[in-house]
Amino acid sequence: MSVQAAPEIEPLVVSEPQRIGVKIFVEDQETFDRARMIDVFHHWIQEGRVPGTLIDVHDYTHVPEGPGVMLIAHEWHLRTDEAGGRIGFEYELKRGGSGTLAERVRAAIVSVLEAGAALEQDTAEENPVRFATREMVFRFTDRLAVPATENAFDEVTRELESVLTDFYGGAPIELQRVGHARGPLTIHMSVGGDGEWSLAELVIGARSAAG
Amino acid sequence: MNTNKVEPSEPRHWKGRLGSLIGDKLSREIDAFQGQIEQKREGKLTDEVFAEMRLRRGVYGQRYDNGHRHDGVSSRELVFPNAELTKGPGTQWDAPGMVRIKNPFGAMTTDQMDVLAEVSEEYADAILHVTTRQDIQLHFVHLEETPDLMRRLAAVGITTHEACGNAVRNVTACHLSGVCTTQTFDVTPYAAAVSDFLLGHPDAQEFGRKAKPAFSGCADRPCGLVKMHDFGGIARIREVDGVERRGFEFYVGGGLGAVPHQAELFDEFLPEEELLPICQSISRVFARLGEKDVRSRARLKFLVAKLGIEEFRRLVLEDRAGLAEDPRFTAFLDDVHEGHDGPLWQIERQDKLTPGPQLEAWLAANVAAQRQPGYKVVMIYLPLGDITSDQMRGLADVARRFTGDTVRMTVEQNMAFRWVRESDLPALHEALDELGLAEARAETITDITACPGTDTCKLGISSSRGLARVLQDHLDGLGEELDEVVRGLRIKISGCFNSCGQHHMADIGFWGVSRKRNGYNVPHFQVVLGGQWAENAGSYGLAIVAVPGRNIPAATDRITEYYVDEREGDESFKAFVTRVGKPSLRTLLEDLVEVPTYEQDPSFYSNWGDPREFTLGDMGIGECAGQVVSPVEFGLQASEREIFEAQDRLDQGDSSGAADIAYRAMLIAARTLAREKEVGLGENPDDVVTAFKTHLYDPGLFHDPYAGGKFGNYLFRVHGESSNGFEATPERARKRIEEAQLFIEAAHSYHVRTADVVPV
Repeated sequence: MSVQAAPEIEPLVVSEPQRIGVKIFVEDQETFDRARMIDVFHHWIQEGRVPGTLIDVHDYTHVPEGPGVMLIAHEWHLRTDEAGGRIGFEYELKRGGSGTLAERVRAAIVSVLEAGAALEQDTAEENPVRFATREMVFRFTDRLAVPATENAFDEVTRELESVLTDFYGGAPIELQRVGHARGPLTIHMSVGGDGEWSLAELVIGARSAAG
Repeated sequence: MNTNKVEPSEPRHWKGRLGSLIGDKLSREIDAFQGQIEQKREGKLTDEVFAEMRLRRGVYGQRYDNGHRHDGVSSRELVFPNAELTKGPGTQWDAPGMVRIKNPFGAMTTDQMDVLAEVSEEYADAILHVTTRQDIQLHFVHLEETPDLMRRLAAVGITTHEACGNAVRNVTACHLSGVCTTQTFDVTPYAAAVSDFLLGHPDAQEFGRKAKPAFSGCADRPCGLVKMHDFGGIARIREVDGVERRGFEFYVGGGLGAVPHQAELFDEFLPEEELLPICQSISRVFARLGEKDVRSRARLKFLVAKLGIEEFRRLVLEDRAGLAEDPRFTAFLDDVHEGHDGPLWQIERQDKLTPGPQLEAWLAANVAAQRQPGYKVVMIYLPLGDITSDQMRGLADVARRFTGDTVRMTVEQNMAFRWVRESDLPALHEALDELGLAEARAETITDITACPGTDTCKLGISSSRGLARVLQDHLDGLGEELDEVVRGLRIKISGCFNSCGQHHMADIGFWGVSRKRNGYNVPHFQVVLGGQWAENAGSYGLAIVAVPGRNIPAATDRITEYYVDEREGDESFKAFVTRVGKPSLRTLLEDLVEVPTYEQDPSFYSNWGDPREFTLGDMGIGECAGQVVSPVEFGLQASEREIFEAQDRLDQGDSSGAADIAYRAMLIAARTLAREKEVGLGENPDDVVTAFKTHLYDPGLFHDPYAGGKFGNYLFRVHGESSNGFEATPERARKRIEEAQLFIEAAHSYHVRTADVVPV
């Protein structure tokens, strides 16, 4: 009787991270009014504009390429991130995520898109803020779950491709590892092809994809 | 994708992954703390006991952790997931908190910088905040993540142990130690020895409050700030029997806070071999005789003042004589005398610098000579002491390239690179510029020091950081108009009288207060002028007047312009303030004290950088040192601060003002106590005195066990004098101040008798 070798199982490097950051970029970097964000975020707390236990607003605009203005919630942080000299909205899940890596990433994308859509709506009448929709940056600061290694990058890339293909209707997705060698695993995404998406459309698509 | 999960070879928890990188002792301590967290979760520890446990591990509360926040419209409840759980009295389990990380004498290796960057972005908000005592603080940290945070730090030799609580805090020292042009000798190894020796020492565990040590390499320069510390030494060399011996001019009993004290000289020359045993004996005397119940009187400065320096010294030396010999007393000296002052780099060919304007400005502001020829100290300006995790990682790379390894944090919330070759300066500037860390403003008037204030501190009254941001922008806007003598001044800001921003020692200091104006609470800053940063914080400034926060930039302009116009010769700012005097400075600012009505300018009714209408409702119970500070103690501290002001007024010859302030101090104390019985009690003096009489005096609650109603009667008489007209001669004002002090002491005693104080 022949003995069939057991299929080789590749050990997974990545597990479900507690912390995931997703950044979208402001289209017009020059006209973005940082000081206004303090008022905006305070109003968001008053109105419960975004889901979560909203705690406070924190001003780091004095820090070069820093977190800008932050809205602190128990579950997440949202910042007008200026890393790399480019202003955007970075949503970072801090705790309370659930599901697989893909489900957590999808939820984080939905959250940043919803926050971006809320800002677009709230600023529509004066000096409107618009977000670019063909570019995102993913940051995995939970080093225990997602080490900053090439193996982890390969695994996360596969998950991201699957999630992002849903979001962008099959448009070509390019994922590239960026950032400091000793920093958290950071991946830049750009979307190819001719498709056009508004933030609102992406939010609707993302919600339906999330079920 | 392969979905068959196999456990990876590395453990999925930090404890397992870091394993032997953490020393056994520290590992056990962190495990124990994790166990205490679990015990608290299971209800097996009281709030008070657990609060002290976590504070001793450097785990603080933070603003809004009582679960309430005023959002500008109303006070809202913050509904956290584990709403039934608390981590201290009135402190929600899930509310984010602050972690303080000790860095003895502000030193960090580049490996430590990498890990600090990691933990800040993983557990906090990706910002590392350098404090005025060379610590690092992380904000918005969740309690249950602190053990892993501690393990990761411990793996690179950093502890948070006793970064807080009633213990010996971080041992600070001047950041130039070892490379300073004016040092007597390098105090670094001595600061390290004291830090190691007293960390967790059994004789330093029973304090009523914290104790802060500091060391300085010379007497004249400011970096060590020894005279504002609980104890510390200034390097001295003395010839004994023809041999040069090292020692310290040793001081005890300094401190800032509500009632600042200059340290007293303990010993003109404490020999180096006596440094550790004397520190141990000071700890033992402080633990034995220091106040335990009334926290606002429990710092070492009060014990030294109460006993007098002679008696305190006698007690310490008596204790020292009885100490069992400990090999650690002198073991560190072998290493000290081997000397570590040598350069990390060999000087090679030095090209002559031809700097452009940007580099030239940076060289002028941020670069200083070392005592070793060819090497420079480079200051890296951190705005408000903040640096991002990305910058920290980048800075570690730059430090590896240009300094070899270590970096030091300064008490002005900056960082210092030492042993930089002069020829490397252009390349270093370029590397720092890429990180956004090459601003040419270190140690100038626009390098403003500020405590966290209302941003994150539970005790903050006014927004110190908001004001600092605005003032910096304002002064930057003046550009070339800013006179050269003004550029060299220092501004320091505290959000309340606790003085974490060290405003007492600044040329121009501000500390946050609230004033009732037009029916609203209005954020103000008390203006303090003429503090002495040099000579190890040689003297404290004069409180001039409280100015609405919105008018502080204008007040700063007035003060600096007055100095430029009226200074005589090379007169220093401190000398100028002393010469022109408080009345003149008060007159200068008089119209800026006015607050427009809300309708005229609502901005006066908000803090800088915060659009919400100002409220004191967000202030919480402080955890600034160990056991939590109750609102009563906070109020009594405020009344003591007023006494200090009154005494200051009297010293300036203003008897009438002194008497008024002493009366106000009594009212604050009386109202603080009466509000426990009558929550809605306002500030009207008649109402306060009536409530005090009804609730505390008439039932005999306030009566002293020996003196009966004597101290309460002081309040009634002074209140009557105030209504009937009071001619304030110097002697009568002095008597009133003394009576006010006694009344406040009686208030403390009453509070101790009646409060549910849990001993530490």
